[in-house]
Amino acid sequence: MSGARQPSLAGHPHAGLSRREALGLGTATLAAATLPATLAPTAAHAQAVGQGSDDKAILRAALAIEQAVVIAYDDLLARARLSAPARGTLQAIRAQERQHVSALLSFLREIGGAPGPAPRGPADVERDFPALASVRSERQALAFAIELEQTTVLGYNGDVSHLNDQKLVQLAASIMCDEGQHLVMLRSALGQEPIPTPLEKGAPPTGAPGKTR
Amino acid sequence: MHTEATPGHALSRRGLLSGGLAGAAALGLGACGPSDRQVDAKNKHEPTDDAAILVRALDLEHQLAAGYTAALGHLRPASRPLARRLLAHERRHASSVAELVGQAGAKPNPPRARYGFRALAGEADALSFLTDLENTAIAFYIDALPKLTTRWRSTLAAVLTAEAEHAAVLMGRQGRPLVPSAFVVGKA
Repeated sequence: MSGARQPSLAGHPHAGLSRREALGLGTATLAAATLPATLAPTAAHAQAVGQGSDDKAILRAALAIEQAVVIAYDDLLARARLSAPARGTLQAIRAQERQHVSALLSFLREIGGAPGPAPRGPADVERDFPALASVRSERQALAFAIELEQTTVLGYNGDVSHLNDQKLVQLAASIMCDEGQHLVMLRSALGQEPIPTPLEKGAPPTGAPGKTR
Repeated sequence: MHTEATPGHALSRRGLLSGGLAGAAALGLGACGPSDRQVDAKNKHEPTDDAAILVRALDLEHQLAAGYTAALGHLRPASRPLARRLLAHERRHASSVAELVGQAGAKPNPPRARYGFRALAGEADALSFLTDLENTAIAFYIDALPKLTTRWRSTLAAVLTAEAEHAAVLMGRQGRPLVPSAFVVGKA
């Protein structure tokens, strides 16, 4: 990656917001936080999300997030010592994340948009999910996956409040629900309460190895 | 597959899944070309009667709570704590949606006296019944979200995601896959 690294939200139009507030604006903001400066969606994208006026920008950002999530699952499966059931769970989830990437990419192209630069590897993902680099055990892997899924739920919850195209809202909502169901799988695998809250809004990444909220 | 939309539903899971890579396009999500899309007013949010949609959402939440209450007596003791937790969630959803109804200028509708549920026969039937109720709610919210003014969507999206989680837990309790599809659209 040739881009200069900088703090996730530095220079971003929403840099004055708390992390939760910024992520609640949607995945475009999250993508701006996730990718290196040279690859990040532009400030104009994030502003468009804030105004709820640019479906292409939001969709492009959501795609970047899903691509990062797939990379993260690839890395988890490669680096963590996993039992067969846990490996099967993560592989099943990764397969669905790939379907999300395909659907978002297809929709983006159909509305005349083009994908932005994709995250290239774990190093890009680690900018907003630094815990990835330290994952070794099965529990850490499952906890990290929960963090990923909570982040995507938070992003989509913000997106559906800003998207205009009705079918795109429905696509984002259907993926958001799937991410919520992934949380049920992962929490169950960790022996946690599968649905700890009646309102599933997601949560931003903690940045702490193995921690979940 | 359990979560399947009816043919007339705005978003068909079958369509989403049928195309693999082009799932969204096969669905009709991307049926229009770029130029068409730009002038396709049908897909753009148009002002609707938010209060009417929110009142319907509240009625669904009341119905879900009533459904869990009705099912409790048909569940084995081991399943009852789960059902009680989900019942508490549905009551919280109803409270949250009632607040939105009030904010939209309408009077929150109380639960109906009767919902006309079918007779239940044992644990498996009760779990299947509850899963159906959850999928009905999911389909409603997926359909309703884009019709609402954006200010209401975040709360309803949080409720919707919770209903999808409920469906997953209930399916798991029945020995079915928790997450059978990458696109959750419920069943109208």
